[in-house]
Amino acid sequence: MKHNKAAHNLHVLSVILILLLFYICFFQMERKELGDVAIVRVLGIDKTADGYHLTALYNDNSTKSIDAPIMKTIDGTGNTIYDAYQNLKRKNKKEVTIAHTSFYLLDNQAAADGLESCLDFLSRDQTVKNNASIYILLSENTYDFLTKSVDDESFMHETLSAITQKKSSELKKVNNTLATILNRMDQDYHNLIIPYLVVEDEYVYANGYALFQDKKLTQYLDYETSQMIDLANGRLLTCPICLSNQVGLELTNINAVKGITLTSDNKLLINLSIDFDSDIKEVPYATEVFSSNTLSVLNEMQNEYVREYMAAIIEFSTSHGFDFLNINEMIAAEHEDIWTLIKDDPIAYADTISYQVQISSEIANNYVITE
Amino acid sequence: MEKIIHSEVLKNLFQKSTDVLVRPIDIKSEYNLTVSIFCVDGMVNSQVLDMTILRPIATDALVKECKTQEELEKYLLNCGGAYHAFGSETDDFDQLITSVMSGMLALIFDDLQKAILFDVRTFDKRSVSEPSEEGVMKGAKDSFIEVLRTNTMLIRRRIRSPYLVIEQMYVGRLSRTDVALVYLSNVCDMNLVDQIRKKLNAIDIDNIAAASFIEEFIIDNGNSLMPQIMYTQRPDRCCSNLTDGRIALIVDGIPFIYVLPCQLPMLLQSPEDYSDNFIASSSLRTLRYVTMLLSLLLPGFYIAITTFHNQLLPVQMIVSIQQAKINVPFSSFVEVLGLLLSFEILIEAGLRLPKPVGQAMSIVGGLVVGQAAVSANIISPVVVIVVALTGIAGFTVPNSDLAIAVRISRFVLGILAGLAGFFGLMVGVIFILLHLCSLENFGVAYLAPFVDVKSMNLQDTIFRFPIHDFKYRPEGLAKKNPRKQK
Repeated sequence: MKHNKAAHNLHVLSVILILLLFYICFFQMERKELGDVAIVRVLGIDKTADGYHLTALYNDNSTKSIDAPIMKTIDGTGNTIYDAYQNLKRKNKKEVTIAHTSFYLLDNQAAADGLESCLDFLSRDQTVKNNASIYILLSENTYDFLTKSVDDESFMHETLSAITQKKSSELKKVNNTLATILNRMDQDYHNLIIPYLVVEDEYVYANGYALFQDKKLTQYLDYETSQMIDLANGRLLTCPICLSNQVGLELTNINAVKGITLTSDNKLLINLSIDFDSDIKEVPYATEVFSSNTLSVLNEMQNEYVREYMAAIIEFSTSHGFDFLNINEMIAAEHEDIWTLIKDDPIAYADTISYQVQISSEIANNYVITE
Repeated sequence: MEKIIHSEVLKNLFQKSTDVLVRPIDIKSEYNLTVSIFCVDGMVNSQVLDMTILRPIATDALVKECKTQEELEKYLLNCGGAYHAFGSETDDFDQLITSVMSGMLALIFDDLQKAILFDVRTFDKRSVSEPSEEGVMKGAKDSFIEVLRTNTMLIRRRIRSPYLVIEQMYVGRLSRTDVALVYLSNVCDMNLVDQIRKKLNAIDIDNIAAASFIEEFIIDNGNSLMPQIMYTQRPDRCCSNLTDGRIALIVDGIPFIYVLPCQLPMLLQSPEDYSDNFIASSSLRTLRYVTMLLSLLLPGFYIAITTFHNQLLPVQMIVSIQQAKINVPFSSFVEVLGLLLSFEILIEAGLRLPKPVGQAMSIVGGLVVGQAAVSANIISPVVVIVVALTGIAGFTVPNSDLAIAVRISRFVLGILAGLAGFFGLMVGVIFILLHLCSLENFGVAYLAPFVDVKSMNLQDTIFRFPIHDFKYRPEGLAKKNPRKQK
């Protein structure tokens, strides 16, 4: 009987506790009716002389559309991103939300001014999508870019989605998501790169990586170098190259393995081993490409092609203190004492790190359709 | 009123009832004996009565030799005077009345204040036909009917064990409804039988008019929305539950039987599950569990996600929902609950109307009004899909009592979701789970065998294992004989 009473009391107490929690949460819940929300698909961040200028490309759900949804832009200005965002929100009659924003575009100036001030606001918003992509816009500001796309009735969010889709089909893992970039900014391994977009007339495409040092944009890398960085990091799935003798190849089955060895003179030796296969795609002159001699020449040429790029990348890394090969993270994990020395001034300690690059490849596929 | 068995007493008692017959029969002999027939017109088979009782009394020479009513009674009952196998003697007035009112014939011996009861019952009854609710493609097509004795026959035909016990009793002060308690004495826990018997005996009500009149008196938790007694129209299903150690309760006048104790997994089993291949059955049963949850949670989920947590939806879906909701004046909460209510009205109206009209009304109500409401921007098409899916999913629940419980619960969960989003929905789900966990049915947990069991005997729950894996009876039911097969 006593047991029953205690169980009953416990039951009542738990019910009261749940109801109390419910009561508290009822007033904490943010009610946002779906029809009253303007969903931002792309957010552009421009830096101007007066501060920041945000442009949001959003779905207009105030008028019914039979075909595709109507897209509109709205912009706001302010001293900071948050300020500009508040300004933008005030202007719109519906509540603007960036919870579904899949793309953040930064113009050249905003990126050069520093990523921290651009992304700090986003890093503190718990509603943002972690897998949203970030791109740098090379040649124009995002306001012009987005408003023009609305005027042209082109769906820029779909174009950006296609670009992202294409990138993810080329790479094993995309490295320009908001979460990745915020992590890299936080870890500070001197290896922050973000893809940039080139706008040419009505075409928009991702060309290569924009390089960030001290979280500020310093340089744009060309397409081939960007590809070779991905190749060195083992991120690349396939990669087209064109050799000096005009033979076109496609690299496949790419594997890149990195290792760190501490030498007897207390220096670090980075072993980079790259292994890949390739398919012959184009031989624009009459030659016997099926002979083992020619294949071996081509094999050596493609190795040399990659080796040259690796040398250039390593050279840039040591001279600029930039970690293209993502070895700082390994050093920090395996040789913490050395990392504490080099982390603040990697250039000064560049000569304590030497590199050994091994490239092995094979022409795996070589055929021609004949009678 | 004097409760003695005498024709005058009976005549006085039933003087205003034209259907009750109390007729004296004089036996033409030198001893001038008189017996009275006491029966209800229309409930006795007059041909049987004439041939087996009246004819021997009128023509048998040995009857005429009986000097006293005592001799006559003994001759008719014990010496084959009456050509009827089912005769019994009674001196209990109440038993006499109950028996005659249920269709038996009584020969009243005024001097002895006794009667002989003959079972010459006949009345119009439905034939054993296909079950209306639990139909199967591959399985028996018979179902219980309103007559208790037919129902016991259907069970006895399937279980020919001498251990099958059919205990009969009366419930209802005025109706004196026949109730039979059916169990297997070598399997069933007799404490359980005692408990149910006690509960039945304790029922003190005038009339057993409908199913709930028994149900609500014997369940342990009368305030719960959840069905705590399983009912079935199928004799095969009843028998398999009896062999599991459960008890069946047959009530005269009700065309299905109760099975108890009842656990939640039983309510999601369908007779078809045991007719098909176990993989197909398991898939369908899993689907039933999923659809029950869908029916319970989908409206609340939709309200919560469109009102509070729209960031969880894929953006394309949000855009579609937004487009669909343009110009709709109501919030998702009002839309969903309003449409759910309309759906319930349609179901209720469909049940009340004659079948052909009901079908026409379903078309008008569901299709025409629904389409018009969408065109008039009163509701969005997405909500129509959500509510239709909810409703259809609800119909996959095999037990209609459970389906009703789900239908009511989804309103409550919808309101909670409208107040506090997923948190509210979760509070509702936790309450339901707490409630289900606290329910006990004749000493067996309602959620058994998922909870409160020593060995997880899950062969016949979400999945239906092959029959040869059903080694044991459900735990807590057949304590003295737990093994089902070797």
